[in-house]
Amino acid sequence: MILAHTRTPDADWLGTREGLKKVNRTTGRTEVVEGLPRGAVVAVAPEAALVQEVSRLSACLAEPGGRWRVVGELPSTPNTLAWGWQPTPARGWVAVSASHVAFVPRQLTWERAPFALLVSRVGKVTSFAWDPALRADHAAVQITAVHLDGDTLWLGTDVGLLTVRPGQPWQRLLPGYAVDAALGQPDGFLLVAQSRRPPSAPWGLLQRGSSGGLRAIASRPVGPKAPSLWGERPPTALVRASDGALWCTVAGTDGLEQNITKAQMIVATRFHRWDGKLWQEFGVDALAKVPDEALFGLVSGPYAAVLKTPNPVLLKRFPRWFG
Amino acid sequence: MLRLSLLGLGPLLLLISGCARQVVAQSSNRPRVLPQIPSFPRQAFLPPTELPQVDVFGDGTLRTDGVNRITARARVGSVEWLGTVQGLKRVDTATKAVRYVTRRDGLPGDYIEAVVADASGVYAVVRDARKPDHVFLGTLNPKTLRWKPLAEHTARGDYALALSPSAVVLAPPGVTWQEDTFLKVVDRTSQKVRGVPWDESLRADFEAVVVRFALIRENTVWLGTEVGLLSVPLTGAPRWSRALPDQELEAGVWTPSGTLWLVTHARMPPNPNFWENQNRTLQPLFLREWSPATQALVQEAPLPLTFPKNTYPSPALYRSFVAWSNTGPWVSRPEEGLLHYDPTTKQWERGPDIARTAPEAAQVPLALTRIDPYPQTVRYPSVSAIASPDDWVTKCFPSWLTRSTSAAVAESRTVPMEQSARFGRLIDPENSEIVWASEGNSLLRVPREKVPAIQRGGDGRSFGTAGFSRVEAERFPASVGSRKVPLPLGTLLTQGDGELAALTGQGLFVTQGKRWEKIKTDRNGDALDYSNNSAVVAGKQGHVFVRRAQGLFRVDSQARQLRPLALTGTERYSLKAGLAQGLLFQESHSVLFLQALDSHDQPQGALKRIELKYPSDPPTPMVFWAAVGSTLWCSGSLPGKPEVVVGYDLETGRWTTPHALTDRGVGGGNPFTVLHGELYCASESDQGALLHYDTRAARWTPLVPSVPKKTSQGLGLAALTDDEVLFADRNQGLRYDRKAHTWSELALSEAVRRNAGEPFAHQVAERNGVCYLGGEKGLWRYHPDSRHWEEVQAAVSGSDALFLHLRSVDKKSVWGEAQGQGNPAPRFTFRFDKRTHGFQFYGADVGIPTDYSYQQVADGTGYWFLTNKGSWRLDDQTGRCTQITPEALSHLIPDPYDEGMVYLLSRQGARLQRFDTRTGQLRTFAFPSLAQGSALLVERSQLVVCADSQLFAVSKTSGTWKPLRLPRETPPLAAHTIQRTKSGSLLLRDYSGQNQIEVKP
Repeated sequence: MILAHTRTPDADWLGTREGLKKVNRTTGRTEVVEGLPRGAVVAVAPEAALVQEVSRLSACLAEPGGRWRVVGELPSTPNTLAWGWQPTPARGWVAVSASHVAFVPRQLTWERAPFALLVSRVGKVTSFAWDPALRADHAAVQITAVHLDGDTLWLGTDVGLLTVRPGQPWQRLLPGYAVDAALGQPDGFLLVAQSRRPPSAPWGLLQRGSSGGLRAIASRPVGPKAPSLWGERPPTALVRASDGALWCTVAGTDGLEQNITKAQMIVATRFHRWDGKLWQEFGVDALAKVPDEALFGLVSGPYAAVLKTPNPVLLKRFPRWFG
Repeated sequence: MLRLSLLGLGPLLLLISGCARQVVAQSSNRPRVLPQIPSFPRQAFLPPTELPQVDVFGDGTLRTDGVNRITARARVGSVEWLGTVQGLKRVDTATKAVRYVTRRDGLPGDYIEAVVADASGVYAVVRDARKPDHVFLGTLNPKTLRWKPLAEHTARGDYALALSPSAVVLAPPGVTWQEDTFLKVVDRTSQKVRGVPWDESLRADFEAVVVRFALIRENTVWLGTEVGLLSVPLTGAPRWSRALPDQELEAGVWTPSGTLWLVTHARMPPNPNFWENQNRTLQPLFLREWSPATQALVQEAPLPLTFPKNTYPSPALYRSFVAWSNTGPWVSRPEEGLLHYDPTTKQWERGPDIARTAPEAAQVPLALTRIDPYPQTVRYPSVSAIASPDDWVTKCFPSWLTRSTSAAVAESRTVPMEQSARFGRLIDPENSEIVWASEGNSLLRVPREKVPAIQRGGDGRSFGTAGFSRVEAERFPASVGSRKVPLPLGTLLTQGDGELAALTGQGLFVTQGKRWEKIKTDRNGDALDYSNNSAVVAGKQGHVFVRRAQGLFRVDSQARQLRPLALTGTERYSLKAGLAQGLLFQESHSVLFLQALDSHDQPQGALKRIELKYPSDPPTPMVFWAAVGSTLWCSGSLPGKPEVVVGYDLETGRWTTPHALTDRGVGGGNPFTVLHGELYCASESDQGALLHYDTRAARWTPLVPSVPKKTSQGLGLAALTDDEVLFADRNQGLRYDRKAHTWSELALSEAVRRNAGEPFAHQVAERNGVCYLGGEKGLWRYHPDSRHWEEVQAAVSGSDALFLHLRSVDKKSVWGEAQGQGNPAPRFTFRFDKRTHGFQFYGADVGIPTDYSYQQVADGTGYWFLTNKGSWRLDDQTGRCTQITPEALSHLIPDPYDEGMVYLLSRQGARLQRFDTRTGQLRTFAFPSLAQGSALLVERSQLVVCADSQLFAVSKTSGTWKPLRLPRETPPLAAHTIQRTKSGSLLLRDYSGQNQIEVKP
């Protein structure tokens, strides 16, 4: 089960239930990375990883010699979802900027503190406490996207877009929107968001510039709806491909076998390409046209942990990932 | 004068009064100024607890205490503007002039939610009479008292009004995200209303926000909510700010210095395990001073309150209120009373006396502020910070109270079935200025104007009477004299010397010779009755041991006294059984403790723990009932055997073979009877009706063959002698002749009739050839020679702990129920003669039914008990109670035009009868078809009956039925009551009271 993914020029780094796996893209050689705490690697970035241990998330950084070091801990317990009868690891995010690395769990709950760690490149660790108003109003907040700009942490959440900076009060933008995915850009943000209040506006692509204004640049793509017991699913990832086009990943079940109701819950995975004017939809039958970056969204999506293991789409595209 | 009881029919009052006023307006040819009240379709339901008491008088007037039920108050100079449950009231305290502003004056409803006033205007929130979740904000011209509606809103709960020189702000009790408007603001100059929209951030996060209070200052509205303190600017950019977001605000008040005193508690649990901890307490409450200028807390003080632990999840029931006086803030809270905080000394002051010294600023909110526990759903019942807010108003603000107003209303003559003592009070039908009430053992005759406001309990329900002073009320103390009362039996025991002991509702009795003697208890000690105590026979001498709150006692039968036992460590266990070797206590269903007794029946040695391992796998819960010798006897069920008895020998540690009593479950109960140390079981199996346990053979043997016709209702042993065995099931007695081996049915007289339905509740004993049978309804002795049953009763003397409950009053008498001492207490029916001022008491011996009576009605010369098993009448001349009809009645109406005649409509509605109380004759008015009658009106020459939603006129003399033609558009209504209005039309209401129509046949 792949829980996290990041790519460096030479390799794909895969966070799995049993540790961190490195797949050399040139040679195809697979190796298990040693030196990390024993547990599931729930988020990974170049030279950084977040490891789920029994009741905590350990933030780990790789030192120049390749040795891993635990730089901090976040309180956490594995999700005890009914899926598969065993607890799924808590998920998380690792975001990297030129000066800092941020470790954030996927879900903030009111009783856990600190909620996130910020580690500077010189090793200084800053922990963030909850914003008291947000904490009083929301027992749990889902973090759907993380972007680190210097030491400023941008969090896309189901209660809006939050800005967290060391020593400063939190800022909350778009309180009426749930952010499904976000993509940090030099000039601001691209967001996939939907209204929090029913009748929920279908998701759309919004741009927030550096001036703070918000601009809708595309509505939800119109395409054939896949039948789903969970209703219309929001996208799980927003990425920019090398040709400059934006891609949204909507993770499906793709033949999910384990389900608690024994119902047929087959939702096709879809990819939407936005070229600046039009949306174009690709299914798994047109996988060759989908860039790798869009496929990586299948790893980080909220349903990734409950999809069929191994994910048939990823297995088809990246057979070497699965030993 | 006839009185309309409104308990349970509250919504009708508004309708009655409203319709009545319409009638008046029509008859006097004045233009109709009242809003049209739709008579149909369905009226929304209003729970009745907050509705005023309305009395309908024989002279056709309606009076209400609603004008004295104050809900809101604003004071301008010497003028008090008082909101009531029956409109607005203007009281000029200088001139004592009172003006009422009601629906006659254009108010859209009766209930005033809030009122604010200053020299230039009065604003009020009035609940719409037609839609209970709908209110109007309007203004009242202080001079002309004309009402002008300004805005409407739809929500239930407490609305807050805030007034400034330029604006009036209406804050609803709660706002949901679907609503665009959060507040309504009235510009006082232009009288224009505008809505203030939600703050979008708040709206996105909260489905609903509950507003606890609204304050206004310098064009900013401050809203205390469950999600913090919101400030809403009324001018300029509508940018809200939010302070104390992690606090739930319960109350707030301004100080002259411009700070706010707030009562708050944290919104978040103090720790993650808070909800899992069963012993959790509530979030601590704080009184906090907060400065809007600096947006910071100035000071805070934890409230010194002891919280009840069971308030979650209804914390709204325990909201606080805060008021300010120049000595500091005052806080009140339901069930806690009033507290005063001195910011200088930082000390709290509380106690019964401070309420009296509280300034008016603290007393008014204390008296008026009520909590709506369900802000978004139902308005009533409300909860006040004090137990009896109406009483408080009476004491503290007598100038608020005025004589009840009266208004002409429809004539009503047919309501005696609904006549019942409301809050223990009855209005005298002969003199409407007299109210009958009761206090303890005294009947009170009170001038109506002296009747204090009705007290309200913490749960919002009304109860009892507020105290009548000796000056106000004429008192008639009742004394039951020396009367014998039944002995409800809990335990019947045979002592070692053969004497019997009975633990009853009246105490512990033992036989001495032919008499039953009561064991003495210390007068101020705890009760000694079967509800609170247990008793067993144990020891080699066979003494009776009693468990009381003070400890264990041994009964000295000769001295008729209880002797305390020096035995500790058994307090946590129940005294379960007695054995020759000692006392058996039970901790759980499988853990027992044995306390050994010496040869003098005194405790000896330590407690011995006994663990029972039940004889089935998996273990089935068994109920341990009796001990014989060293064997404990249990009953329970095993797979395929619903009713099994089994014994456990304490000495050998072995179980007997389980024995199935029946192949059907009979619902538990003690199946065992122990007589002279032998164990018996009544059984419905084919093995025999009475089984005896043969200890030597270790098996059950039949003593009496099976009942020839099996009862399906359970079977209990009633008596056992050498010649006969008596059984009781739920319906009948059965006698088995042990010599002739024959069965016969046997009426077990009152002994079984009163215990009907509880065959297993019987207990049986025998002494000197006389059998005893007892149950919860009493104790009887059976003389086998004469086959005669006789009830054992105990004498009650004096008026100890006698409580009177009023039920009905007629021209001659006040009727009710008197409750004596004991648990369960004996009950008598009493009649108070209004002329001689004498009491008469009647018990079951005069034939009063022992079945539950759902209604009692006085008819002038008698008193009716209506039960599901028939209707009985107690004649005050003969003093006998006889069954008049085996049917349950829905309507019983004494004829107001023909004294002595009573009309009865059976509950099933298929029979209309007239009972002549003088001759005892019952005449049936045959229904024309199989119609189901549902309502009855008795008039001078005819009866009006509603049957199958049609109206009939029935001639009193000929008994002929004539359908009444109604207008074609009349909707069908299964009426429960019919009234004739002054205009001649008929007012029909259904059982729920939610629907009524007025028709003119």
